[in-house]
Amino acid sequence: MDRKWYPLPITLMGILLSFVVAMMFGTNTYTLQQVLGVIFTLDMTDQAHQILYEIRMPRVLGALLAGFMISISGLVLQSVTHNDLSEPSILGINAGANLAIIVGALLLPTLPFIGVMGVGFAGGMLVGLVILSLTRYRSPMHLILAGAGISLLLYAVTDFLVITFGLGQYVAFFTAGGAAGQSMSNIVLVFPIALVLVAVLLFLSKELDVLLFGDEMAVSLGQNQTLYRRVTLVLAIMLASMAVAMVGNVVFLGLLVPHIVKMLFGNMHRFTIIYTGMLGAMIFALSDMFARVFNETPVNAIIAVIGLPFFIYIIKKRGRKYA
Amino acid sequence: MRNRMKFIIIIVMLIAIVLTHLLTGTFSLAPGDLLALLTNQAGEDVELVLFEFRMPRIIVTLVCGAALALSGLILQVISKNPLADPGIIGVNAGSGFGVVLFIMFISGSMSQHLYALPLMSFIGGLATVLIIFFLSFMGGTFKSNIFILIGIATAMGVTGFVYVFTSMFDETQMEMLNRYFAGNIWGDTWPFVYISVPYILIVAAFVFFRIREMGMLNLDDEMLIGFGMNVNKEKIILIILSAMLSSLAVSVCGAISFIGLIAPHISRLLFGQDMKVLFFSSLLIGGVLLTGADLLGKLVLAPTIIPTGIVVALIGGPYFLRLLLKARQI
Repeated sequence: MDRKWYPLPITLMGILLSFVVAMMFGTNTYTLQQVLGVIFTLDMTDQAHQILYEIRMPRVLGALLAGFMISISGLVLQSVTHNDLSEPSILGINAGANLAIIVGALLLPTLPFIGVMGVGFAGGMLVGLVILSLTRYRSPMHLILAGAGISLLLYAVTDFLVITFGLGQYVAFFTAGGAAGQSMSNIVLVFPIALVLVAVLLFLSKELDVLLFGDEMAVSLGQNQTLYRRVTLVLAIMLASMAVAMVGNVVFLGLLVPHIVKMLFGNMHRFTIIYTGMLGAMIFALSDMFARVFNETPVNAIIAVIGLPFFIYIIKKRGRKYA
Repeated sequence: MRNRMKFIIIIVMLIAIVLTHLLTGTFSLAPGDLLALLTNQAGEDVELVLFEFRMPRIIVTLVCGAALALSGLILQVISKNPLADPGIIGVNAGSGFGVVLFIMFISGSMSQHLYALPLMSFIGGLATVLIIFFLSFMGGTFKSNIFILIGIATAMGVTGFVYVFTSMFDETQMEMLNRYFAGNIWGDTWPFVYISVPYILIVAAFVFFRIREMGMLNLDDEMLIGFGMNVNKEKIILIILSAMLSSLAVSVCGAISFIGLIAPHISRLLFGQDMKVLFFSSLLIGGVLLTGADLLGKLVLAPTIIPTGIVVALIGGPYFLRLLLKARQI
């Protein structure tokens, strides 16, 4: 048993705790008893139980799930692109998924949630692959500029569609991001897919470790690099696009969490994947809780406020590489 | 001689765009009306449309396009990176933040506070660039790549931050902000012309005084220090000038990206590396591009008007991709 597994129970406790806390606080505050009551002795005639079960629980679970997916996606993208600053939104994956979802909403207004997710995935995938093939993993700088430029372009196209077709309301939700309006059925749908994807990533964790060593080392260790790179990349983009379909465009979370975890637990992926997912879930659910407490501020804004100084800190600290 | 030909072609294009601009729109005019105007025989309505609506808009887009182009040129020289653009590094986001603060605290309709809005947006943009700039010093020297990275991050972060406030906005306030981010040219009346034209001319003149230093900044920093140049000082001056240009332009025209990227690049393709020529050609091409985009936005889906910023991005984005494909080493 590796020493690095010891904190696992603590993080599991953390998840439970943040679930309970996030259930308790919001526009209305509920007591611990009521929250526990919903979990153990659900009584749908009680109004508080009803609200907690039907509105808040899906939201909290959705936030946990989205945080989990976005953070792991960020971690994998960082390893695959050899770039400390990679993250779904920086690579333009969010913008791509966003645009695709809007186009989907225009063409097929009655698209069910799984269709929205599929469309988002296609869009995110397309943009991610275009950017990575254009830059061919060349330099971090190149990659980030490409992502920023393409995001600008895609958001302009999105704006254009929104303005011409009057989709303002629908889109405000995506650009601002937020876990509001989740339904249990969506979560039941996404959760198993996310688990399978993460399980595959865990299964490939050794290969991801080898990718970290760099190209020459990977080749000399006999790894079929292109294959693993592609597979893990597709998985990461899938995770990110599903998260976009659920909670909209969340920036910086996929950057923030993996960095904290790497500082604490080193670089072995079989630890980092798990801890990143857990911590990401916690941070996102708690940010969403703060969002609710502060007058329904979009949670994306809160993450951005935390994330920006952190991003600058990372650049300043590891900046020698880029300068 | 060949350069002169190219300049003439660009100017002819500019005149063509301006003329089409003057003649088209919801109220179409015939070329004869323009002639009548020159000989002072035009009707009231023609005079009103031309002087009060079309002329100020054309002048504002022209100078703002030029300002954005020059600002981009400076950024590219300083960061030694052909892909730098004021929009990408956070000027637009900062100005947007200023707009949000304006809507939050001053509010009311735009006509009541004609000048407060551009002023706040201007301050927001300028402050953002300066903060990014001072964060990009490492060990006492300015690092251009760090500058761009922090700029991109700030653009993303501040845009997110803007949404903290939007949750308290009502429908009309939200629409105002969306108009800003889509890059609608809202400063299209004479007062904006009176402010922006002299301002941009003066700042551009200051840049022109530094044109030799700008040309030299293409060299390695170590070499320049060896020559006895105070590299940090030059960069600080130039970046402040650049921020002043771009933040004014976006405060009058709304969030417009890519002009500062494309215009200097086209000028380099056409005129090579001579900084003095680049200075003038970037200004001209920037003006042509923004007025052209504005014209397209007016004509393509008429009578619906596409915001200029969106037109620019739709043209500029693919161009940017092409540049990216070609760029060997960044």
